[in-house]
Amino acid sequence: MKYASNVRFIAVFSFFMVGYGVILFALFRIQIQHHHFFAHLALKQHSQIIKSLAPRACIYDRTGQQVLALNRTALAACIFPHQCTNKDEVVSFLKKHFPSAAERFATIGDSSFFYIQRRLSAEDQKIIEASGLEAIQLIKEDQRFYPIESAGTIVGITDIDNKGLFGIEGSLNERLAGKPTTCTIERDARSGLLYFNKQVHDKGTGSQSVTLTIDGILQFVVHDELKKYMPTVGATEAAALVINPQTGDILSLVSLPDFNPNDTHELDMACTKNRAITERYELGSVLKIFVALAALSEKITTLDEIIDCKNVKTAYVAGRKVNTVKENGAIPFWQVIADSNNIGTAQIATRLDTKLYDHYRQLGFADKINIGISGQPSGYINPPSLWSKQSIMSLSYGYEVSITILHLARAFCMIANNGLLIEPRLILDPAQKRPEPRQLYDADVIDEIQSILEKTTQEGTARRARIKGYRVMCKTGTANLLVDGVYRPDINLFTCTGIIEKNGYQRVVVTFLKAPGAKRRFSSAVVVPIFEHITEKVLIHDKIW
Amino acid sequence: MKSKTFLWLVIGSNVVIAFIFIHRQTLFVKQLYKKQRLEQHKLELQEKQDTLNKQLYVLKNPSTVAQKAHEKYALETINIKQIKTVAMP
Repeated sequence: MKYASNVRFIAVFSFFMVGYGVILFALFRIQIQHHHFFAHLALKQHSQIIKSLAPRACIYDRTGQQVLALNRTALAACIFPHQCTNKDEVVSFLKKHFPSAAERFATIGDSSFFYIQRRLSAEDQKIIEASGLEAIQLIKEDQRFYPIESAGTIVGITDIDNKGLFGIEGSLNERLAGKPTTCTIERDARSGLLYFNKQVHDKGTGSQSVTLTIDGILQFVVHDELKKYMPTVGATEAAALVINPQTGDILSLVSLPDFNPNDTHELDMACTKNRAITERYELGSVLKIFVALAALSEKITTLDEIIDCKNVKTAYVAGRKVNTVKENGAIPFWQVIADSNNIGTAQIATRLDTKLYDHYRQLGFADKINIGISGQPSGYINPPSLWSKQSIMSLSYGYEVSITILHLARAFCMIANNGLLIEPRLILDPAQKRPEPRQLYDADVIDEIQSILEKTTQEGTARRARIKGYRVMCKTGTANLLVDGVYRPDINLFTCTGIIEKNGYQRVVVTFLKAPGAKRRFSSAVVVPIFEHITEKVLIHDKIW
Repeated sequence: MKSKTFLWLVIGSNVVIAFIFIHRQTLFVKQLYKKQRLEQHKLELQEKQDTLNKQLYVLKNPSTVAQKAHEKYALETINIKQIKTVAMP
């Protein structure tokens, strides 16, 4: 009996000891031997690294009432291949409705995620929902939307990942997108989306909205007017710029042809640039006013000095042949500019000689004007070291100097401001440091220049720009386009730039057209009418009456 | 007897302290979850606001307004010569 009892005792004891031994051994393996493995697994399962990015910020116009760029939710269709149970059904669906996606799906290999299509149209969304395939999931993504399409060449667009490509979207991409915040969160298996601990590793910056100086409604109005006018004169390109000379704020910046930023499926990249700020042109006679500015500033002539324009259309000045459009006899200097006589202007230019180049540089025609969009070129003035005997004449009537519409507008703003140069701007940012305004010319000289411009509008080539009740000071220009080193008389650049004033209110308006040239076709008939239409619209918009 | 009381006192106080710590942590996690739910709700409301804003800006789009003014109300653009100013007495 005692023996049997001992055996039972030993058997039970051994059984439990073996059991506890196994448990201890297992514990040893888990807790000590494979400690790192299980700790790492637990960390992976219960902690997650999240990178969160704030929604891309909006772009507003100067009033804040019009949004030039905002986000909207778009849907993307995707598959998680490892969770896909009915692959054959999915593949046949893709082959029928999304053939390119079906081709890509065949080559995904071991990938755990697959985009079928991003930015689904309403039709595609209906097809996917009607299919009833659970393997195909719809996820929300941010997409940019541009309510004012006429601002497309200024605002630019983003790519499919919402990264800015060009325009304001491109140049201020970091500010609009912000920087992501990286953090580790700890959650248990049942808490779903909720976490119980969060550690921030990399504190990002929030996205910041951008306000432009552009007036959204004025941009639309100017764009609309210019677009309707272009076919009437056969223009292939056009640009218009409206600027407040007192602050340098660019209120409207139109370039045509342009593009629809909400439909970029077949995008012509040439239409995405804003020609008013990215293209340089030899603008022709519109620069004669700056020859007058240089001459009056250097005191080599006066407004009323009589200049003999010889009453011919072709004459020789300093041994060089000079052609002009309209014959003038002996006329005062102001009329030489108002009537845009090349012979008279060439005579004054020969007196200036290299000083004309210095004045053009002083006016900033060789500078790069930075208004916050990439792709802006600096201007070009042919330097005296490269001059031919013709150069001084050419420079005086706007050739051998190549500038953007913005350069021209800035110089006219200086005239409007009585000689004070204020740098133009596109981005309204009170915190941004702006260059100090500089007094470039004396107020008396500017007064004389303004009187020449006023007479050009009253009696000269810009007569059609007159608006009753307003002081309008304009200069026109017609130039042959330089193509492959040859000036083409069949393609002309027509420019009209002017200052409008009434009771302290001022605006500078520049209009530009590239259109077929013809023998008796000049800016006065081609571009001045649209200048007048646009100016009227600006005045009505600003309620200046 | 005294040592027994002391022992029970020590064990009891440790249990109470442990309970207080666990309770505090539970309350903290509860409030944290509540905060996260509110943040989620805030995000949903923000999304709704963005959608409504988008609808508003589309309606305010000058080309939409101009089209409607022209087609529905037969309104035309004016030119400056049509504007007459009247001096109030």
